[in-house]
Amino acid sequence: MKRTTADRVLSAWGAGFLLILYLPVALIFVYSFNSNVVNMMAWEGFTLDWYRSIFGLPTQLAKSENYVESTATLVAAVRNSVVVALFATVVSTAIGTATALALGRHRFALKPLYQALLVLPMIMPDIVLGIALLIFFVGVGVEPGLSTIVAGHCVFLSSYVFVVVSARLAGMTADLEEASADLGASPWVTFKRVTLPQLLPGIAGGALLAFIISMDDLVITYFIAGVDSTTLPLFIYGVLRRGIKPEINAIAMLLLAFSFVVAATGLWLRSRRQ
Amino acid sequence: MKSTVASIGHARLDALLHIHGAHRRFATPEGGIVSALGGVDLEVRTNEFLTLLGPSGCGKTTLLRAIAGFEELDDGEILLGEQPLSGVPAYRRPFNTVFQSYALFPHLSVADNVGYGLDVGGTPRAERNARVAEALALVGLAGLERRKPKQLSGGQQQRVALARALVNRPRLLLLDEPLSALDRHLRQAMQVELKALQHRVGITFLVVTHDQEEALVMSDRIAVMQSGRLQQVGPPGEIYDRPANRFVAAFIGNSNLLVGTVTAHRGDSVDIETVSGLRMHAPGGRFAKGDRVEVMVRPEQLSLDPAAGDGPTIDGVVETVVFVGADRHVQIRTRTGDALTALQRHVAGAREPGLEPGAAVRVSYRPEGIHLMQGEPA
Amino acid sequence: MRPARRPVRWRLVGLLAPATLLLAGLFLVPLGIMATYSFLSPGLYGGVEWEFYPFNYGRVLGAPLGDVEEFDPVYAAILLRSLRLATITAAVCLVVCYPAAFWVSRLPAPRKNLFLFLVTLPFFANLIIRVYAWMLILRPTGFLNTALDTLGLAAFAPDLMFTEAAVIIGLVYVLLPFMFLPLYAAVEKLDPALLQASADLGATPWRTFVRVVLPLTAPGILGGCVIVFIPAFGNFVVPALLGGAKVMLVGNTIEQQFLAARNWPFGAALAMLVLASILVFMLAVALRAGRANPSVRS
Repeated sequence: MKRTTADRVLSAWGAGFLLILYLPVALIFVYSFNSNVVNMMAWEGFTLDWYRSIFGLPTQLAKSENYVESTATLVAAVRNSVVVALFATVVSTAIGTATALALGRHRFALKPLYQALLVLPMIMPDIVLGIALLIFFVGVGVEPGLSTIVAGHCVFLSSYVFVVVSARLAGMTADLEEASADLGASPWVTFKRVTLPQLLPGIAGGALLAFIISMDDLVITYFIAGVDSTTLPLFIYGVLRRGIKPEINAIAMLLLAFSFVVAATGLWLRSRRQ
Repeated sequence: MKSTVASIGHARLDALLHIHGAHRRFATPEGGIVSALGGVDLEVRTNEFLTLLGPSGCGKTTLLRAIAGFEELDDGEILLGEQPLSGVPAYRRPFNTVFQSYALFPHLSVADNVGYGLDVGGTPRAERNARVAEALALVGLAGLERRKPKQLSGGQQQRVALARALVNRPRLLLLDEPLSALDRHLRQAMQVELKALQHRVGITFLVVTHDQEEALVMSDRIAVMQSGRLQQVGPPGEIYDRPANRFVAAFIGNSNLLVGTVTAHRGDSVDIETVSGLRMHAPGGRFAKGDRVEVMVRPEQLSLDPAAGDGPTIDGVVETVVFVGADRHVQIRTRTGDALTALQRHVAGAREPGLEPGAAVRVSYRPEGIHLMQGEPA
Repeated sequence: MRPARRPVRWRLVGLLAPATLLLAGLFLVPLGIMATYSFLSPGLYGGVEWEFYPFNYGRVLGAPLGDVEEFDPVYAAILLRSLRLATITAAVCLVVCYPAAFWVSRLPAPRKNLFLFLVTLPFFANLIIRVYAWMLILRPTGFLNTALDTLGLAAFAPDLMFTEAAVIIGLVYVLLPFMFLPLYAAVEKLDPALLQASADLGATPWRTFVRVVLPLTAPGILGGCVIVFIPAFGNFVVPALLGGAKVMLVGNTIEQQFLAARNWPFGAALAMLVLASILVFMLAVALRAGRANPSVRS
């Protein structure tokens, strides 16, 4: 194949595109091992101290250079994030799947309304939903905390699960379900033995996506979290508002590694099925 | 210049396009190399209907795309008259293509699709509209100007593709499997129509197809390709009656193919004996005693009529009789063990006696109905 | 054939009930309350006074509503700046992603999947980490200036932090995948035979681009612009971290009204204006898309 100038320009552009996407993240990775305590962007030498410090392990650093006041705050934030993500994922996966089944396998008059309504929480700016929920929770007198965060997350996570499961459902023909009914299976048996097993990869994909988005959410959580329900993104945001310290590199890397492993697993599972 | 013209000679003067030593190789996904064109020499004559015929993967589409300008040759050249086309982009070549998928622009109406080439070429609006209308009338689509391609049937889309190419009055019209997406009846009608259209517009047509029947019906000349090489170029009758080799004989029409040796040479004709021991008589003055030959007999050249003349005969037994409508294909096992297929015209109501499986038959043939080709040495 | 009265379809009701409760209780009702709040007067210590008070909108829109007293041009300016930055963000994303989408679509299958994977992956990286990465780069003592310093180009070192440029860079970076994926879907659908047909009919590559490629990828372009514009417009994390107090966008202003100024009705009114702007924007896009492809309507 002969390469034209246009091809070369496109390739260079593509390479640049990937560079832009990954360079900033790569920088965090590299400088998370930098031992320079004065200027974190001037390379001085390799150290694992920043990683050690966030776990409260002994380091070479002077006390004043430690930024994360207590590892306990960080651990609490991680725990809050995981608890919220787990609950929100379970609930929203159930709701999103049920809704996908309702819209994908039934005909009813209000269907377009539901379709539009389900898209809204995803495309609306986070901040609008965040303050609407804040006003609501304060108005009905619910104390902000982990439960309000879970409830808030479910609103938009259900939509994401709905979209993923619907896509899977649309790719399945009704043939198999009809065959099952033809062979004498009741609707419930057909659902359990035919529909659900086929749908499972979509449900798993939706759940994985919901989990990542919940772990990632900052804006909505920001408005409906209570004093002792700080999640990990909130924790990092709070630290960043006060200034940048090298420990953040280490925290960021761990968080990135976690999301990349989860996302890569999900994407890999999906590509293997195709 | 003068000496060049003289050396080219007369044969080149009525040729539109010359292809010399065209080579094209592709890398396979497995890391190998396939040769799509392995040295093709071909000339396309002005105003002819030339068909590139061959099985899929034979390189015919690659050759067409190289002429259109979508592929570069690795080696060799394509000349338009005296002008080499290498390095000339597709949009500067005075050729137009009817794509296999039609490639109609989905966002443009029928009229805008047809007018596309004139629009980008800067033809004045009034002339453009007149020519678009003329082209649509030519293909029988007047009145559908405002439709979108999706609102047309497959046959209509094919006609739009044809009109879109013809309206530019190209020096050469390239058609890539133009009828392959149509159903059988429409395809047969379009074969005749394409041929008539080519006559009417007086434009050189170069068609790529894998359908030998289509090639026989439409073409002035057929170029048979296999494995990136030209096997034979000639008018349909010549290709059918006197195929150059076993591949062409087998690819075009039905044929009985046997392998044999020349046992005696008698002026213009020879005696041959097949590997199994069947003796036949055929024209073939160019072969010498002892030559290995491929023997081709078309089924319609074999007669099962007991009253047929005094020609040579072969004795055998009927194995199966297949009714295909106009004809019956009678499969015969000769006494020497060769399989032959003979054709018998179907006459309604008449059941030929003696054509039950297992019945003995005597097959007669005219020596002129047998074609000999150079065989592989034993 | 159908019975005159349909029986209640309990299975459908059961499947829809959870989503209905969720969307009604935690989405529509809160939005309704927010809309109501935007017409109430602010309470002394946060919260609201239950009396009709249309001037929350007047503060932003002012003169057109005949309200010159409460009108504060600062807010109109913030709204306009948010619109401007969101538009620029969408435009930059488009310019960056369009050639990249073509590049990926032309790769051979195994590498194509790898690059699609690589493009999708950052989407899953924590938003705040991605913004943080640019803080590292753009700070006065950040990577960019340190690198320029090392190269002896300290004189050219820009101070980008807390500028509109920094906010745009951050928004573009965070929203790139949103632009790339719809563009890629449109480009991938483009039949290469159509490009060849155009060249075959005598169109130069540029004319082919204008007359075939652009119109056929327009849905992807519009889709990408919509889903980049909306989150860029209402964003508050990126401007908060990269724009600081100097580049206030409507998102930060809303946050301020709720958490610092404690003027909830005004914050709610701003949020309503954000929603209204997005609604107008999407209507405009839908109308354009409808005009570009009238057969969709018929």
